Formats: sequence, C-alpha cells, structure tokens
Amino acid sequence: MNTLLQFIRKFSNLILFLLLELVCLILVARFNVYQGFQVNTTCGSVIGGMNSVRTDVNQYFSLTEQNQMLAEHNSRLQGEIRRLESRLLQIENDTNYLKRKAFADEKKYTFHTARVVNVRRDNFKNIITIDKGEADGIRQDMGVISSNGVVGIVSGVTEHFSLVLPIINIDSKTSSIIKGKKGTGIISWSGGDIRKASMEQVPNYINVAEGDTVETSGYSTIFPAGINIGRVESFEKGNDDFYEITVRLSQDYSSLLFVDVIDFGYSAELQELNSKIIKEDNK
Amino acid sequence: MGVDILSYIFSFVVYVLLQGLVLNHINFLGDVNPYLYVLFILHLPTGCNRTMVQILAFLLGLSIDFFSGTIGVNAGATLLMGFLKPHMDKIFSPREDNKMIVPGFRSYGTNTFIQYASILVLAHHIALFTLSAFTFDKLHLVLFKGVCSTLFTLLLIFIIEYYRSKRRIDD
Repeated sequence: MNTLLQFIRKFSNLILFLLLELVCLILVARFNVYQGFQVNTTCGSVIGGMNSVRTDVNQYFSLTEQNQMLAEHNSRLQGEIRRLESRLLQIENDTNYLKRKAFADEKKYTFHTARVVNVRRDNFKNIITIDKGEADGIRQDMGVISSNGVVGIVSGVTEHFSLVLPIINIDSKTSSIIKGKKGTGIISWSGGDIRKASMEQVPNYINVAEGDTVETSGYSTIFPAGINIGRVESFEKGNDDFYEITVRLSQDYSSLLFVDVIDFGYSAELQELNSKIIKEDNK
Repeated sequence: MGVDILSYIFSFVVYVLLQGLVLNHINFLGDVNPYLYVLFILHLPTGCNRTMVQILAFLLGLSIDFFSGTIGVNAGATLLMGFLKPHMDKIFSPREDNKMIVPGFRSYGTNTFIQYASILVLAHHIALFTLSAFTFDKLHLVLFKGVCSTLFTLLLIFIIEYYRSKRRIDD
C-alpha cells in the first residue's frame, strides 16, 4: 500500500495529465459539432451574444461590399424577370402549360433568407451558423444556397439559430450532376483547399470536359435541380469504372453574408413514402 | 506576487477574448489561423507548480473551446503543452536555481527562446489538428495545416516578444 502511494506521489503529474487528456478525448468523441454548437449559440448565453456583436461589427466594415453584392444580385434577378416575362408571353396561349405551372408552383420550394452569424473555418469540420431557427420555420435537412450556388445542408436547429454543414466539411455529401451530360455523382470534400471539392461515382463512359458546370441533381428533396455547385477543374480515370473529378466550387465561403434556406413543402410526405418503401424492403 | 497573479488572471481573459473573437476569424489564405493564446502558457514562470500549469492549460483550452464550439479539442492540445512546458523549461532555462523567471527573449536569450517556443507551439498545433480531424487518415493534411498555423503563431509571438524585450530595456 505504501509503495502504491509513493508511486502515485512520484507520478502524480503524469497521472493528472493522462486523466485530463482522457477527459478531453471523451469530450471530443461525445460532443460532436452539433452539441458543441448548442453550447456556444444557445440564446442568451454570453458567448452567443458576443459572437452576434462581433458579426454586427464585421458587417459594418463590409457594408460597401454587401451593397455591391446585393446590387449585383438585384440586377441578375431583374434580368431573370425580363427573361421569364418574355417566355410567359410566348406560351400564354398554351393554357395547359399554365395549369401545369400553377400546380408546380403550389408545391414549389419557398425560401427563408438568413444572415450568417458565424463561419468556423479553421479545421476539417467547417460549420456555418445562421440566425434563423425553428421559430422561423427552419427544419433539419433543408438545403441552403446563396446567390453563388450551393452552401450546404441544415444539420442542427435551435429556437433562433441553425447550423449548416457546408460542402467544405469532411462529413458532407451532396448529390450532383454534370450539366447536360447526365453524369451524376457525389460531391465531397477531402479536407484540403476550401475552394475545391471532389466528385465521385461519375461513370467513366460519360464524356467529361474541363470547365463543365456541376450542379445539384434534384434527386433528393433537399435541393431543387440545377443549382450551381462549381466547375470541373481536372479529371482522370480512376481504377474502377469511375472518374476522379476535381471541382472548383462556385461558392466563396470567405465572403458569405446572406443565405437562402430552401423549404420544400412536401418533404415530410416524401420522407414518409420513402420510409414505407424501406419498411417493405425489410419485410 | 499578489499583483502578478492578478495580471495573469487579466491576461488569461484577454487571450481568451482575443482568440475567440478576433484570431479565430482571420482565415489567412483561406483557412490558416494563429493560435496566439498559447503565449499565456509560454509566459508562465519557470519553477511554477507543475500541477497548476496543467490545470491552467486545461482551463485555458476549454475556455477557447466554448468560443469555437469544439469541446475538448483546444483543451486536449493545450493540456499537452502544459505537460511538456516544465520539461522544456528544464532543458532551455538558463538558470540552475529554482528562481522563477518569465520565459522571453531577454531572460532566455533570443535563440533559446525561439527553439523553446517552436517546439511547444508545434506540439500544441499538431495535437490540435489531430484532435480536430479525430482520425489518423488525414495525417499529411494535419501536418501541413499544423505547420502553416505554427509559422503564423510563431511570427506573432516573436513580434510581441520583440516589443516586450525592447520595452523592458527602456524602463
């Protein structure tokens, strides 16, 4: 017993170090990013408040930039309106089209605009916090886009804030397609350059070229089809029957200020249907 | 001594706020951030109680974690640094006696302090990025990002040390 006590006394610092380090490892493993996020953005908490103030101050310094961006966005939308108006004029005689369009509009996606409060970009698990939450109708698994294209997917919601898992997070996977080529694949990020991602599972019989546009495939309820992700920067044929494609992302995560959260009205219904199929499969 | 403890508590708070509100958002060249708060550990006097250094390091890291929402990551890395620091003091400290001195350009000598700071900061940053990735698959990226951030942090530390040593001479 005495020798044990002596041993403990002699190595007390080492034992303390190992114990505390073990605590840290357990904390890292147990507290995933979402729980960590809840710790630091719980409303009313001191740190959440300070982060908001920091963002407010930052936004003052970038007002010119923001105006510029909004003006550009505005002019793009104006152009879009004109294009759609002229298209509407062309097809107004086709009453069937209008009926179909009304039906499509009914179930179409609605958008919630939110402000980016915090972008954690110092490591592999990049996380974006936005200032809209459950109270504003944001739910888990909604898609998030900006005027530059896809941002990420909502993966944690509190009362007034939400957590967005961006493409540049090693846990993120986004269904995508090469525009006009029918080549679908999965966009993921390996942890390196935040301006590049890789696209996997594109079958190599498809004729890919550098500069091809990569966009969302619309095969999930998260993103509608045709939202910009980036461009093919380089590609090579992998060992299997798939390409290894490097995509230059269109999203500039360093100047992200406002985002739109996509609310697909029928997502609950579709999920129910999908879970039914899974149940049938399991029988 | 009483004043000393107060000034350490004050600098603890300043480092946490500076890191949490400013330095974590620098994102130089995309995603390189300095972790200047480790300077608090480097500046703890030699001969300081080793248990206390470790507990302080753990608490400092945990405070940073609360800001960045990465519970345990900074705490683990800073704890490792707190564990290593007294050993490094033994190797690099110019004095044999147990008199408390604050490590710096003046007390350690410029070259010795650069070596001392580089080893501890590199150890901290590599541990930080390993815990952050929480896998050994991305070892090359962990090392690359660790070294980039280390250079950034060390640059800031040396600039601060340079002005500190000049100021002391002027006094």
